[in-house]
Amino acid sequence: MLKGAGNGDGGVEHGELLVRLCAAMVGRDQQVLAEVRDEVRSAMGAEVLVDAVGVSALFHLMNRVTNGTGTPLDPMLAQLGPPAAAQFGADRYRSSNDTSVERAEAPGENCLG
Amino acid sequence: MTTPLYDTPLPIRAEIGNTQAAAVRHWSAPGTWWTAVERVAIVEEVRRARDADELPPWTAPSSVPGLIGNHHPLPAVAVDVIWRVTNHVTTLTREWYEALVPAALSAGHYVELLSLVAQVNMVDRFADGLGLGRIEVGPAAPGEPARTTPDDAAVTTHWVPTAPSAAAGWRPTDQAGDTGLEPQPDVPNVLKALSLVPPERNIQMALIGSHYVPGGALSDDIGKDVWSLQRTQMELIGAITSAVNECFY
Repeated sequence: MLKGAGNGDGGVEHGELLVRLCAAMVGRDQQVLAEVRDEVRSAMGAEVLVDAVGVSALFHLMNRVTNGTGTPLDPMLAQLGPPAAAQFGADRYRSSNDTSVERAEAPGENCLG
Repeated sequence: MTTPLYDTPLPIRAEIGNTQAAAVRHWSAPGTWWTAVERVAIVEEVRRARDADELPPWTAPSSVPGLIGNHHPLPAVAVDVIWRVTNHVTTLTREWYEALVPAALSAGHYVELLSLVAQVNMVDRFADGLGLGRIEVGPAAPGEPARTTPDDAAVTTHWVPTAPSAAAGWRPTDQAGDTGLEPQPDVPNVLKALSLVPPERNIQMALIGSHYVPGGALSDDIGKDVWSLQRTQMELIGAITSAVNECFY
C-alpha cells in the first residue's frame, strides 16, 4: 500500500507506529485497524490517538481537493519538490503530471496538501 | 445544548467536535449550486462508495447494471465523480476533469461536489479510524442554492476557476479596496482551490484549523508541538497519508 516507505521511525518519535496507523486507516481491514489503534493508544496515549487520526483524516480531504482541482505547486514547494519527490517516488504519481509549478513571484508561503 | 457527535470516552477536542458538527450541518443545507436534497444524497453516495466492493477506476458505477437506482436524486455523472474521488483519488487527471467540465457539470457544481466528497471522506475516516459510528447526516434543510460566483473568479492557476485570496482570511481582493491596508500576500494554492464556492472554502479552512494547524501557521512553527502531537509527527502523518493518496502537491 505504501510506496517508498523506509524502515524504522525515520527520526520521528513513534514514527513507524504512526505510519502503520495511516496505512490501516486507508485499508479496509477492521481488525488490523483496531490492533494498530490499541497500540497507538497504549504507547502514546488517547489524546495522541485522536489527534493523529484527525491529521490523517484531514489530509484525506486535502489530497482530494488538490488532486481534484489541479492545484499547482507553490514557489516554495517547487524549490524543494524535485529532489524530495524523487527520493520517495512521488515523481511517479499521476498527479505529478498535472501538478504544474506556479510561476508566482511571491515566495515563502506555507503549504499543505 | 449540543448533542455530542460521538458516543465515546475518547478525548475528542472541542475544536474537532465543533468544526465537524458545523460541517455536518453544512452538508444538509442548501449549497451554492446543489440543493439540500442533492447534498444529502452526495453524503450518502460517498458512504456507499466507500463501503462497496471496489470497482476499477475505469468502470463508472453508473454503467454497472443495478448498482445505481433509477430514481437517484443525483445525475449519473455526479455519482461517477463521487465514486472516483472517494475510491480512486490517485487517478484524477486534467483529462478526466476536462471531460466532465463544462460538458457534464458546471465548474461550480464540480467544485462544490468535490468539496463535499472530500469533507465526508475526512469526517468518516476520522470516525472509522477511531472505531466510532459515523455521524448521521440530518434531513435536507429548506431553501434554495445561492447560485453565486465571486466576480473575479477565473481559471488562472488551477484546472478549476479560483478567486484571488489573501492570507488574513479569505476575501476577494476587490472587497479590500477601500480599507487602506497594504495588499495582503497571496495564500498557498491549496487554500485557493475551492474559492470558486466560498462556503466550501470556509469549511475547509475551519477543518484545517481544528485538525491540523490552527490559525493558518502552516510551516513557521516546525519546532513546536501542536495539540498533543510533535510537529514532526504531524508532518509525518500528513506526508504518509499524501503518499498513499499519491498527492504530488
